[in-house]
Amino acid sequence: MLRDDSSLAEEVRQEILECDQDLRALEGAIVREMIPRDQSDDHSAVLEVRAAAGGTESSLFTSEMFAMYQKYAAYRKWGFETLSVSESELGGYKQASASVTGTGVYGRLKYEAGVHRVQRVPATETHGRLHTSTMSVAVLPQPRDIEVVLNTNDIKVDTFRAAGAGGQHVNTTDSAVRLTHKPTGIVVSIQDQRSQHQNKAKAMKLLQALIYEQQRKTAVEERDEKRRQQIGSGERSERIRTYNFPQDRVTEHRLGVTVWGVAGFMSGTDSLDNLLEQLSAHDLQENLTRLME
Amino acid sequence: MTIVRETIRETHQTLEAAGIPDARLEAEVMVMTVMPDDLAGIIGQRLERIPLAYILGYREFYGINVVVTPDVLIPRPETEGIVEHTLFMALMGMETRELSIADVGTGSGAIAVNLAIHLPAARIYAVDISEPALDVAAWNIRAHSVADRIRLGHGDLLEPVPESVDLIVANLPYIPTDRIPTLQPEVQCEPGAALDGGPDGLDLVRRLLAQAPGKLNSPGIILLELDPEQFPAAEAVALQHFPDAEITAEQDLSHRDRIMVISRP
Repeated sequence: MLRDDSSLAEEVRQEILECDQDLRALEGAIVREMIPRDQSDDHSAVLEVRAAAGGTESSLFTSEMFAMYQKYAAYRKWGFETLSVSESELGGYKQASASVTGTGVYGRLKYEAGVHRVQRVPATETHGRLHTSTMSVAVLPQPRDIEVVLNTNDIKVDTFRAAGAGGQHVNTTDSAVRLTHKPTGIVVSIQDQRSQHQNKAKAMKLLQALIYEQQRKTAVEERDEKRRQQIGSGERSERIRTYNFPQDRVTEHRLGVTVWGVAGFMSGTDSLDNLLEQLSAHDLQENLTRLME
Repeated sequence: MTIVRETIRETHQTLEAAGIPDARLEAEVMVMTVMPDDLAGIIGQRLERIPLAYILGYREFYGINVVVTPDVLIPRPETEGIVEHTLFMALMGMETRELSIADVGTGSGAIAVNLAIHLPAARIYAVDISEPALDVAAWNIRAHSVADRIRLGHGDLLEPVPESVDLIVANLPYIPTDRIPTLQPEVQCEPGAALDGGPDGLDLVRRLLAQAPGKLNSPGIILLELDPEQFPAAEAVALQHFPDAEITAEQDLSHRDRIMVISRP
């Protein structure tokens, strides 16, 4: 039995509407797939914090930032292994690095790369004046072993302990190891109480990441400049964020966004995670826009 | 976190003022390993120049924790080279065979245990003249579940080893008697018998090499830890007992000759 014309027309109209929706969804998916993504996004990463030259404030803030990332890694259930720490005699860290492992670590942490600025009254300040200091963060993707093939002949292994009789003559806690990658001149030192064997392994991990980063940088520089992402390029000179303690706020300069509660932010949990989510979304949007142009 | 850092800094200053080597590193280890209530006691012991490894009861060696007491020598990083090179030799074309190894002067068992972990098919004899040392070795063997591969033996050098073996490894005492009193206070706390090699440091090495021909298979390899300046004299003794042997030196990370490798064809 034939249905009457009006209900058939209605069915067809309904189908056209649904097809339209499907079409739009598919278009969106295609566009998203076309957005150039950093292939290293799902890799683990090596995180490096560095104090600005001179000043106790900078090195103290550097160690606090390192602690923040340690807590954030725990919050995200990532692995966090300290690779090297260089203490400042005045307190805090001159430099520190860690291997952060898990899926998608680099894709998340890469937005932390750049210069972070702190504004507060330091503990040592007797007149209650506000000081401004900076520290910088670098984030390197950790290559999967197969991506960085290191020729052992290219690597010189030694120790930087003072010369003098070793072996049974000496009893120390330190079994320092230094690796020099001869072709690039990159030097990695690990000074730890662990065994020489473990220190060598840590040093190799760090060396691999540094070499990989150098290889990556060369590849990135060769790409079309117009297509380079602004956020996540990890340029060290970019001032990306200010932590203002008296006003209890954190300002993310790339987004023009202010987060309230410095302590909460630096506890490395929801607050930091939300901001990184925003940065990631913004990055995606930027790429989308650039693709459309 | 700040309290911990403060404590590390204070501990560091205390240790440094007392002339403790690697003061910063040791301060970190102490504060991060020990309960706050026990810390003062630990620092007190350290200020008496008792080695940190004896205080904490262990030393990491080649990636594993080795329990140590004042009855044994605290394993040195240079000795990891013996493990490394032995494994290299063992895995080069010999991996399918059941290798027999003698670790002479095993002390804490650091070398034997690591070899056992990486060579599941090996038959290892770990021997020492000190019974208290063998107790420590026994502990480490059980702790790392390699009792099925290592047999302990008490006696002088190779005497307790029941059969001829493919590999002899030895970190025997090699310090000249007169030099011992000049060494760090920490080293003075370690057993003298584990360090004293006689007037030129080579007494035990000489006696080992004299016993070795009867206890080493053909082909067979001996790996010995020594001091750089002892190599010429030791090589001469080795050639006396093994005239056809190939003798090479492996360096430590300070680029000093540290391990003598004697390959008997």
